[in-house]
Amino acid sequence: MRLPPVSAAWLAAMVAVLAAVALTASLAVTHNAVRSEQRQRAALAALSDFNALLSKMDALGGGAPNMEEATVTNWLNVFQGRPGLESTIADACSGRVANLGVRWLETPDARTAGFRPLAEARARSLERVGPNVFVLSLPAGTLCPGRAVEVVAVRDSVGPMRVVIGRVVERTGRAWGVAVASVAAMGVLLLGIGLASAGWSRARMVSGVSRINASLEQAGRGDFSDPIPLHEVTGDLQDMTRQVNVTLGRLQELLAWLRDTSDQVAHDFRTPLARARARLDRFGETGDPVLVEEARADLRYLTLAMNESLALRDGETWAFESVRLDQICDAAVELYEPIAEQRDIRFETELTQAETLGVASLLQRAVANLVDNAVKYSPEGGVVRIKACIQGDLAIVVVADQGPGMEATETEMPPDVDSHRMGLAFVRAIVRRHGGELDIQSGPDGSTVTMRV
Amino acid sequence: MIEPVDPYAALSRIFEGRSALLLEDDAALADHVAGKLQRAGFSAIDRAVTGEEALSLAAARAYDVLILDRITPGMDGLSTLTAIRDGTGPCRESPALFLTALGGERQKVEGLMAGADDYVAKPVGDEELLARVAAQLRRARIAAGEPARGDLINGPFQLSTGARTLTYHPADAEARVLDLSPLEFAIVAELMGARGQPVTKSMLWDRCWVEWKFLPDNYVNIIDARISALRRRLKEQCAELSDSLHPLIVSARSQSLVFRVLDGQA
Repeated sequence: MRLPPVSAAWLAAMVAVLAAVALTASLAVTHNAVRSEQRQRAALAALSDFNALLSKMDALGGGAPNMEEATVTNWLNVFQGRPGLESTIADACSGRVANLGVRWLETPDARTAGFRPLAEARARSLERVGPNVFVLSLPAGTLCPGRAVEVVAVRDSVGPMRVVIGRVVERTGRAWGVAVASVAAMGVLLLGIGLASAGWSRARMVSGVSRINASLEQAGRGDFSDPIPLHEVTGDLQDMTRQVNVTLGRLQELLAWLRDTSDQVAHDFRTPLARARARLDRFGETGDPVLVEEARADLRYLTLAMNESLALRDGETWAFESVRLDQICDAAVELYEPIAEQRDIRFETELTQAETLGVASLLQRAVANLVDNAVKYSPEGGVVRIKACIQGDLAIVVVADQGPGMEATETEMPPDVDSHRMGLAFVRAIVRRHGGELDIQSGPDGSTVTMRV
Repeated sequence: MIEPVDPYAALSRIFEGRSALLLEDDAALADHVAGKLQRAGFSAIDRAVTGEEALSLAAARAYDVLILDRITPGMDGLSTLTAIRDGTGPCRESPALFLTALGGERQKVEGLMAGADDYVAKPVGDEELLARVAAQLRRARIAAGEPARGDLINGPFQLSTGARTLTYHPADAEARVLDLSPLEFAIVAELMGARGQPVTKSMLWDRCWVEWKFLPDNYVNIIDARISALRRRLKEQCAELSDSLHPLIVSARSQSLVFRVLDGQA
């Protein structure tokens, strides 16, 4: 599936805008509901005013089609302003009096009484309350000087007269205003936060990616020493960052390993070559046949070194597979048992399942070399202890002998010094190839070599 | 103590009148190997320098053995062998050995996968090469059904490859199965199967220590110690056998071993 080219930041911004719109819409709906509730209340009051007036006038003998002049005058008087009306209007405008009643009367001969704008105001029918009920809009300055006012009124005829009796619809009030303002502010705040966090996360994502990019670029130039601090990248990128770090670390490790082993290889190749050459030169001068045998030994050593470095090179191209170190130890014991028996050397093993990932042939060589060394340097009748187990998340092989120890070896066993030292260097190279470590403890009571991979 | 005749001299019997195809681009080495095979009894050794040349030779006649280098001008040895094995020529089933400087484990696996029967890394001693070629000719003969398959009889010994047992039939006692570990049986089977012909220690390593994916530097010492122990076990369990016949496994030149041929002696 192809995703549209919309960034997460954009999506976040859109969501924020939608949230603000929804908030505003719900505010408007609530406002309308409250408003219609207030109109309803005003309408009921206006209707009851109208009915009260009708029954009052009936008592005074009004209502007939041909009204007498006296009755008309009565009506006009009732609709005329009463004392104190001004202050009542002011109170209604400022909200101290609720649902102020207003009225207007017009006789057939064009005499009028009451509040004229009621006759002229823009009217909208409010049929669901009653057939003659209307909402009248009075612009600012008509009733209240400072604001527009809405009136719900009954417009009807009484005999020959036209009558308008209404009530002022209450303002939605200060509390309502505060509520609207706070909801609106909340909307603005949400919008702001949404946009800001969208922008911020976008910026972090961009900076994280460019940080990773920088490290990879550096790696491209051959420098793997710049791991990316996890706190510098956003959560979405941390898994990827971790993987990049692991890969860079592994590459760096391999490079270091390659450097070290090439140094070792150079040493292992050049030393016997130089020795053989010197011996052959001397042989040319003296003709001593012992020198030929010595030179032959140098060449044997050179072959050995070459085989080992080729094995490492070869092992490098093999993929890692699951290897049971305990089984390799077991096989190594079987391999060296006859040699050990000839010198009364005993094996003591403690092998529990120790599985690791590695190159089987290299790990076989490593374990075989350790066991070989231990047998070679054990005293007659000695014990070689071999242990394989899992410690933490590493597989461990420990080979302990009762030999004279590494330092002593150099002076006490000169003929084999090289192969001994070199064997361990080879094992170390193998262990490091697997990202593990080799630990050699050597004392007067023997040597213990621990291999962790 | 009866010394067996030089087992390498006995090889001439199996090499008599044989033909070999040798693919080797190094003239000096080719001369050397061809000369050695000729002196050992081969009647025809055809030499090729390139893979293409070897292919056309292999299409013309059936060779008893193919000895191939891997890195050659033109088509390399690996592709050459693959082409021979995939083709319909007369050498399709001939035993083949790689004789090459590419001696890594991976390369060995590649060689065997391409259809080689043995893989020898240079440098190799002359007698090692002869012993390995002889082993291939022997196996080819067995594969061709020359001796009837089944138990191998050597004097009082009866080797059953199916049951993996070695039975000893003393002249005047009940026959008994000798107690041998799987490794010891494998060694005895390999040596007895050679019928008096030498088996070098590196050949023995390749055939009996198969779980080890490399040849340790001191494999000779390891095998020597194992063989001494095996000799002792055989001697203990075959006390009726004349002392002059022990050890049953004798050492021969060039780090090789021979199981005495006792036919007519029991």
